[in-house]
Amino acid sequence: MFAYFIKRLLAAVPTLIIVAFAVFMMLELSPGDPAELIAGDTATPEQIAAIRAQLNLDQPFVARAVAWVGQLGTGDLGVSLYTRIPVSELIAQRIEPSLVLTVVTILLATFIGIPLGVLAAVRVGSILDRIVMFISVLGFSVPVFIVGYALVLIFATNLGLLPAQGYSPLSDGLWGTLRAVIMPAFALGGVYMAQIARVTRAAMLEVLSEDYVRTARAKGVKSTIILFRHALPNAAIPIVTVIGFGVGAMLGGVVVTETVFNIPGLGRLAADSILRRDYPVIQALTLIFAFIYVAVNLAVDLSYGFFDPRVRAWGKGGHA
Amino acid sequence: MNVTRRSFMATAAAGILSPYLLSPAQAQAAGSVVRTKVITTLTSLDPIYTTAYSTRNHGYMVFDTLFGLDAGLNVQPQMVDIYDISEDGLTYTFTLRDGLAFHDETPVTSEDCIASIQRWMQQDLVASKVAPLVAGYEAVDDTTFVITLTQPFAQLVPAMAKVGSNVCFIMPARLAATPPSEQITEMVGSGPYRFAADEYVADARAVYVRNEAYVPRSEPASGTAGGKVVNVDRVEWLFMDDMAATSAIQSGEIEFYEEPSPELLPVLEAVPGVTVGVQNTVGMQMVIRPNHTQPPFDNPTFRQAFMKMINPEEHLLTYLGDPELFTIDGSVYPLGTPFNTEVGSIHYDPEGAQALLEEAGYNGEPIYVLQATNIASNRIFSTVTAEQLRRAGLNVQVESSDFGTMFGRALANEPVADGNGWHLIHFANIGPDMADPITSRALSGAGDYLGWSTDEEIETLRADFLATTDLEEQKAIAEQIQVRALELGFYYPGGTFMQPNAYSDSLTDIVESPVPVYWNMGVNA
Repeated sequence: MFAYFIKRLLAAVPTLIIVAFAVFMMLELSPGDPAELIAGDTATPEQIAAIRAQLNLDQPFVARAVAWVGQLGTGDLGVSLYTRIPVSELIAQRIEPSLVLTVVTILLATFIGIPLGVLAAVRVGSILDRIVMFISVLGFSVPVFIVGYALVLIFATNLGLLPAQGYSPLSDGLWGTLRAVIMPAFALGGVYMAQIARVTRAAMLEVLSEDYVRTARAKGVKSTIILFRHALPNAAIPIVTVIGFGVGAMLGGVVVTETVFNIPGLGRLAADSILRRDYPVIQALTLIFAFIYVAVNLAVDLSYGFFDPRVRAWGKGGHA
Repeated sequence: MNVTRRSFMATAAAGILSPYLLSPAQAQAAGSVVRTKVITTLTSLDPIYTTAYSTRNHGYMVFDTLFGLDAGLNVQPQMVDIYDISEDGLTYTFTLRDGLAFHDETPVTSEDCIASIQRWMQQDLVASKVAPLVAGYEAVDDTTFVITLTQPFAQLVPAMAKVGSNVCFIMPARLAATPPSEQITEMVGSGPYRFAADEYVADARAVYVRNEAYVPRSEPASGTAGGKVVNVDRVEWLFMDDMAATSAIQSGEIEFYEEPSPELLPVLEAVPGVTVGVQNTVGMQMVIRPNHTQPPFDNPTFRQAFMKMINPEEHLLTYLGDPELFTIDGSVYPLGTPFNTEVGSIHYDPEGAQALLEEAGYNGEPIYVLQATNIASNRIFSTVTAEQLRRAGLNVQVESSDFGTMFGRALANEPVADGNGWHLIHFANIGPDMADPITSRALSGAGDYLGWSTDEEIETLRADFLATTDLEEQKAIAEQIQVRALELGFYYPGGTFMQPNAYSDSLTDIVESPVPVYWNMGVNA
């Protein structure tokens, strides 16, 4: 398993290199010049040229690419063209809100989505099943920002129970952090909750129709044991896959959620940096997002072995 | 009243949980903190390095100025106690007020002022015109310094007072020695607030704390002039989206909301405890700038036809929704500024436009209107212009992108025939930026500004304007420049409009100013 882990980890390196190169190329080809934006519409061509030179933007593409790769090699992500703050510092300021939001969202989506899916599978065809499926279609269909604004209207503006916007760091207390992220997590998590519920239902229905489940029932095994000890672990692989996929897809949703709820996270930093062509920040964030995506996929792959003995056997060179 | 078990439980639960669930805004007394949603994010801290309005506004918090502009746009001394201009207009002597000190507790000296002025003169549009005329600077003593010119330049003191970027902010000489193309990130000024660098999160939050050592002038606060008395301990600038800000002011999480998107004004007006009002009484000007280098806009007759196709009332009504918030007068100098005049103004005239269009020989070639979809005013102004030009029979294509892409495309000025050129671009500029023939770059006839208008006569008139110190003479020249610029279709001045702010009723004594300022303001507990 360890060898498999190392092999997968090494396989991620070319992926990251390709991503880095593609991002650099795309930024090079995209219109807009940060020096022009910094200088403003009243700047003279000489002033723009001076800023361009000061930021090394007047260097040829290859020279800048080589310099950037050299920097990366030493662990230096560069300096923001606008704030002149090191990118690593900008990311350090922003990583906590995004991390907390993502973790709380995944936990909510998982701990609500799986029971709903199991419930719908057990009571397949019933009113309960239909209600769960209706909620899951709703979760799929309603955009994050609509859910977000509706939650703000109800819980912040009308009831005054939760803050409408902003983030409270963990260092100021867990309760404040949870109060700040609970609405964004629900808004962002709706889609994933729906996905997890639907996949859980489908996987459970398939497993519950298997012979060994029928045999267990015939032997009088309690239905909760059948569900949670026999059926659910066997339905886990598609569920884990959809959770993993959700973490990756969430990177996009975080941008909208952080904007709606004014959370100073990595998503907003990425969106703002793209709009103003802050190349070093965009490059660093893209690499980080790509790394997260690769890491989550790897974790999902490794978890297959945990849930399915056949994968473990294959990993040891056996046959499935 | 019936008390059911369910309602009892809900009330009890709310009672138990509310101390924990109430937002910090509601749980704490307002105290002496003002939290504000500012117009745009603050990414560059150096107000000489960039012309961004957000950085300029940040500059007014941290730095002080030698002169200020009062609410009536009159020049008033600020850091300067007394000043003298020699009869020949060549020698300017400035003496600073007593007690001025930087945030690092060093006194503000003549050397600091001279170094700051020199840096500013390398960067600012108006100041750069006086730089070649400076014969020398002399620090007479710690608080008195002299600037000597080789020829009179009447705009020197007004330029030092102006609120349009770049503002002549005074910083320590060691910082002012930085080339203007290099950004200063150490924020040491002598302004009414200190910048809390450790609390700054670019794009998210900037915090300013009261400068206890600041010595305000004795006059009442007015615009960027008068006594900058700080009545609050902290001002927090929060950068958020309009919808988040609307929710935040409704739930008491912010006290001040700078220039909400106009479509939100009716919502905000209905919020109890929130007032919608105008502090920037000078307002803004809608500018439609043609590209003079690209056909058919390289033809003055076509530009004249274009000017008569525009009905700015439709633009401003669509954007603001309230006719009380704008005035159309056709002057290139916004209403309320000293040189505003109706002489030579061009008004909506569809028939006249058609006659000129025929004369210009327009043959249906596409007209490219640039549009920045992420700026509400730009999105709306360009959409309305496109529609009006289509009604006039032009073949119009709106080119949509984000502001950065639009701006890059505009500056690149590629030929329209190559597919990436442009004909029209829109701006919403603050009134003081358009207030006179020098500050307003759209009135340049030197072909050195976006749109690249050229005219020798206008350049001669602008030089005359700079040379005279007589206000009546300046007005006469400004009028001639307006007539000529409108004749040649330099740009379309689309009236003056106001952008109100929304603020909590707990705030008192908000200063009327062309730029948002946070001194004088108080908070009722």
